[in-house]
Amino acid sequence: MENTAKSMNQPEYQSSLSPEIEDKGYVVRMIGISKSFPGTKALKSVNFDLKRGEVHVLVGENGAGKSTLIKVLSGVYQPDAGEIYINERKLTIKNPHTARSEGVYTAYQELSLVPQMTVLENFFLGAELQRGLMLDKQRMRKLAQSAIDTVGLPIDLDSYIAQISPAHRQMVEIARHFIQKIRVLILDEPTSALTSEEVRKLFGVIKNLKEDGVGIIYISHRLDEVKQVGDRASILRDGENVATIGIEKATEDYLIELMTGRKVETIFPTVASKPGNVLLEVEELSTEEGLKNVCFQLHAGEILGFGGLIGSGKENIGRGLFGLEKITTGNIKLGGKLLHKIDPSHMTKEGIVYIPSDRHTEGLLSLMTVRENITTPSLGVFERYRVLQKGYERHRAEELTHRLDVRTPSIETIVAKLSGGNQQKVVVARSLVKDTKVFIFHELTRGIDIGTKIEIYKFVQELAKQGAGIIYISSELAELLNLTHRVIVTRDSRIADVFDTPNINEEILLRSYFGWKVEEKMSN
Amino acid sequence: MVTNSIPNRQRLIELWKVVFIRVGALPFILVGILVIFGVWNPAFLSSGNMFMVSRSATYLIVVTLGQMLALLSGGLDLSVGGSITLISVVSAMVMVALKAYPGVDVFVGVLTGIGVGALVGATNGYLIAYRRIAPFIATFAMGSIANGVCLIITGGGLPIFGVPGSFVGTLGRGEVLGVSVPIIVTILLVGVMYFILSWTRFGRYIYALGGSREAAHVMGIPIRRYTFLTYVIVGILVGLAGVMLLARTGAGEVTLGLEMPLLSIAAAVLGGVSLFGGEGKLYGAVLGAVAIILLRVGMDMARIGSFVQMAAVGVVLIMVVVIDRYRRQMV
Amino acid sequence: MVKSLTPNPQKLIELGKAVLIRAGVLPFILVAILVIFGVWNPVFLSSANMFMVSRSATYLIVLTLAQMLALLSAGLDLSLGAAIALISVVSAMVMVALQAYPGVDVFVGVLAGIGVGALVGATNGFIIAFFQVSPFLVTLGMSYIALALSLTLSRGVPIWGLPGSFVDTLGTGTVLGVAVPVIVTILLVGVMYFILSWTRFGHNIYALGGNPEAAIRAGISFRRYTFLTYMTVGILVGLAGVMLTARVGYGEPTLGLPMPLLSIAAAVLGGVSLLGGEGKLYGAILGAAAITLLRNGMDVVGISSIVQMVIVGVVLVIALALEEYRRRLR
Repeated sequence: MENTAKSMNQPEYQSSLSPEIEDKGYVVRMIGISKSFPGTKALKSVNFDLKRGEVHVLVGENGAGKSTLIKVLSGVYQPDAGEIYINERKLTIKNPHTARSEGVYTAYQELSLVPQMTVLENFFLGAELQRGLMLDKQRMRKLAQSAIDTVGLPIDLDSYIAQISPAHRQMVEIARHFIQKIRVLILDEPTSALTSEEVRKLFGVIKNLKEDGVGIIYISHRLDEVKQVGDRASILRDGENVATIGIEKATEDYLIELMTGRKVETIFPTVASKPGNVLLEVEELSTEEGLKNVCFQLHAGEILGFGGLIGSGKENIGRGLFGLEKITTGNIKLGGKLLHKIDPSHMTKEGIVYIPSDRHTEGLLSLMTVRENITTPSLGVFERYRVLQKGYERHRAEELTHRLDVRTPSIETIVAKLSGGNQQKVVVARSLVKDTKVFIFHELTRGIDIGTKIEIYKFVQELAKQGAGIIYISSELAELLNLTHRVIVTRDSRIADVFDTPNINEEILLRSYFGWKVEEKMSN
Repeated sequence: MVTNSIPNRQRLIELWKVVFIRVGALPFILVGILVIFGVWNPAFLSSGNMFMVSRSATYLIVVTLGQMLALLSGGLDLSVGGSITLISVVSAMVMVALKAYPGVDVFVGVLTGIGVGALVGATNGYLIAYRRIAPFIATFAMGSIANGVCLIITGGGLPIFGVPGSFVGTLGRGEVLGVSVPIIVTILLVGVMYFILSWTRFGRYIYALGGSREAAHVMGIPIRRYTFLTYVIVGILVGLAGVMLLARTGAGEVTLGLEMPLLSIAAAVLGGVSLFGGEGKLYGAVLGAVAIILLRVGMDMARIGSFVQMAAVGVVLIMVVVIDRYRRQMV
Repeated sequence: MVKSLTPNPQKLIELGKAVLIRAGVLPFILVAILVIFGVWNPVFLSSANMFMVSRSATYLIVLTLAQMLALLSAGLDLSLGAAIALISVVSAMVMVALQAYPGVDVFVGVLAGIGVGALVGATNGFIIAFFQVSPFLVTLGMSYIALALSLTLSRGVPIWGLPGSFVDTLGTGTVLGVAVPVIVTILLVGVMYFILSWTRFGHNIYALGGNPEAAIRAGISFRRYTFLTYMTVGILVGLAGVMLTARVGYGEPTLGLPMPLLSIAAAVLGGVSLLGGEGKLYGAILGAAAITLLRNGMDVVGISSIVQMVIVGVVLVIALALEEYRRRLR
């Protein structure tokens, strides 16, 4: 495998492990950390260290233990066994305050900001500086301003969090730690809401932090970033640190292999279906959220992948198509017929189904049983003279539960009790009650263990073979490269490129995501 | 060797916990009420008393059925008090006005009453579903408005007398086969509600709306339409309750509905209906209403002053809410 | 070039929308009130009337400040009406009982009244903070308890015989031509401003109401601050209750019952969010002023108090609908 990091070399990023770092010593050492919760062993004797001035990337599937590990380091959890050394001093980190006083700061994915307060107020949340009984606003303002300037955030300290863009909010979440003396900065998926320009800026800030000797733990799935900014990578799987490697060795396939314990070839089924007639035509679709003039066609039996950086618009396409975002212009035609009303009820009636990325808030009826989750959107099927035929309903739910191999004690179990993978299967199952023509999958396999993922991939192929059209929105390159017929890349809320999957590789896709010159590997 | 003597108390506690989680605090409270007041005044447990209790309970049960619907959908209805008074007054006025046409007067009067209830419900529904106003504010305001309108049309609170005897005779005190008419009506309504909640699409959608609004939306359930309909049905139920109350008291009065919002919410929550929506069983709500009435009657029989009773209801409400919280935590 | 004057209605609507977004619902409501009632009966706009209005506004302003605190923390207080009744009764009873000791009677009576307010607030706060249950239902239940206590203690009849000094100073008295209640209110507003903008306490209330998880993660104690919030509400209510009692001149067991609705309406009109975390002090004050103006206006043109409640309800709903519209415009 060629060193893709070098081939994407842009002058402002240096990703190799420089000799200066080698000498600087460890700011964090975690030895033999174990942590269990009722029912699971989240961490099994994990060793992890962080050198001063280094960016150490943490990768792993959901549930592998990444967030548990950083929560142990930041004092949210106490380990059952093991030792932690900060700057070679052995410590017990009893709570988040202790961690912070040792210079360990965490920027979380779910933002810890209060939307109704200003940027300045959020900076000092719970820890305002006082002069006697009064708040020392002058001092706070000065410190906050310098933090903002360091990061290069073009916002006003007095603007409300609710008013600034999600990207800027993410930056505030990170920047607010800069008013403190940081030894260790933990970033959990920091770029989820940033545009490529902002990602560049963030990486610049990280470089500065590195020069100051700050150690950075960077959690991410995104290979492109990881290669840009990381020095080393540790891969967690099932609570164990499977390997710590230099970033040059971290290719997507190798990482997947380490993360899942399987070779890439065994994870994805072969693409079996052949795309047929045009099923769905989207013309000049624009939404209030910013999508501009999106046009594409989906064929029956086709799996059409959508990729791009977060914020590039791929998420909005799925939602816009389904009517979850306000459409300003554009037409959608299903099988040649123009669809007039675009909202979830009508789209469902037409046989178009949307499986959202966030199953907890948008996917599942968490208080209801498996059976109810499967049948509720399609109750019309089970009605006779307006009365529900419960026997038939039960039968169908059982059938689908078996077909998808949902592991549950019974169909009357409350879905909240199932594991993530099985919950997702329930969500998928409900789109199978009626004949569905178009499936819109948005991050279908997020937060699911590898075993279930494999089952789901097989299932998606089956659906395509049966003639359904599938829109597959994903932030995992491997899925897009191995599961689809074509891939559409979005950038800046528009469609940037359309590729035939056999003709592309990781590098081409990533270049397209960032908008660098794209060369096709093979011309056709 | 290993005996089970120590775990005995442990097991009792475990058993109690399981029962508590499954059926809620209600059975315990019911038993508690029966025991306390039964001991205080044995006449409490007499069949004559129980008969009276069941008849008094009907109105609260019907209103609680409506309140339960509102709660299930993730909201609540504070207008039930003002609404009931308005309904009874308007209904009475119509019946008095049409005195000259016996039979018709009752019929139109009842229809008008239910219609007013539905109208209030529809307004609530419109404000909540289409204007996205918080349910408690919208219904609170509507209740005040209904109450105010009622005071206006009665010229400041004067009761409306002259309700036809036939009306009071049948709907109020009448009996069919020895069973009091209000009880029959209530049983029918409970049956209808059961059917709606368990056997129709509407019922399922309400539970979905209340439990996980976003997910329901993504699934294609027309949220606004069903929220609106919910409040309309609540309004119809309140209309029926108002008409039945009018038959009971024989006069359109302004004070009839004062405590209804509070009591119906307490009854529903006591019966296991969650304040957050999406959870709750019908029999629980019914039993909850019965428990509240038992409490009231018990306090009356124990000669507890009306002010203290008011305080007691307040205390019960707070207790119920706290207990519900613990129950949810335990699951 | 032809300069057309016809876009006027369009521009007016655009202007209206801009004002709505920037300044909220209140300006529209205030202007409407002043215009409607001013035209209906010009006495409304006279300086004598306005003086009286400013004095009447004080009680609602204090109560709205209290309600605002509860709302900011993402809760609310429905018990403040019944609490006032209880405060009125208790402080009156104490003052009458200590009649023999002039000076002391007023002092202890006022303290007792504020104390009762604080007690009610503390009880609310305790239950809400420690059991983490719905403020709505807890304060609703509490209102029943407080009312029952008030009626029981007073046997349902007003308590006469309040010391003249009390009624004269606190009720109708003036200092340098400014009514005493107004002075007290101005002081309280100052204190509230300080607390909300210049102390950690204030910021923490906004944080807990705005994003409880973030606040807790930042180390802000939900229990402590929620409890303190409701207790402060109680103290403010105590002060308002004592002032109102002085104004009426006797211990009134049903004093203040419409206040919960009115204070919520005033706060909401003033831009305080029902969901917590949002709301400016001057907004709440102006909202209270608007509601007082509304009621005064209705009094001046002779609308009966029953109808008045209806109208307040209607205005509240309109204000909320406008607020929702405004949110969508943004």
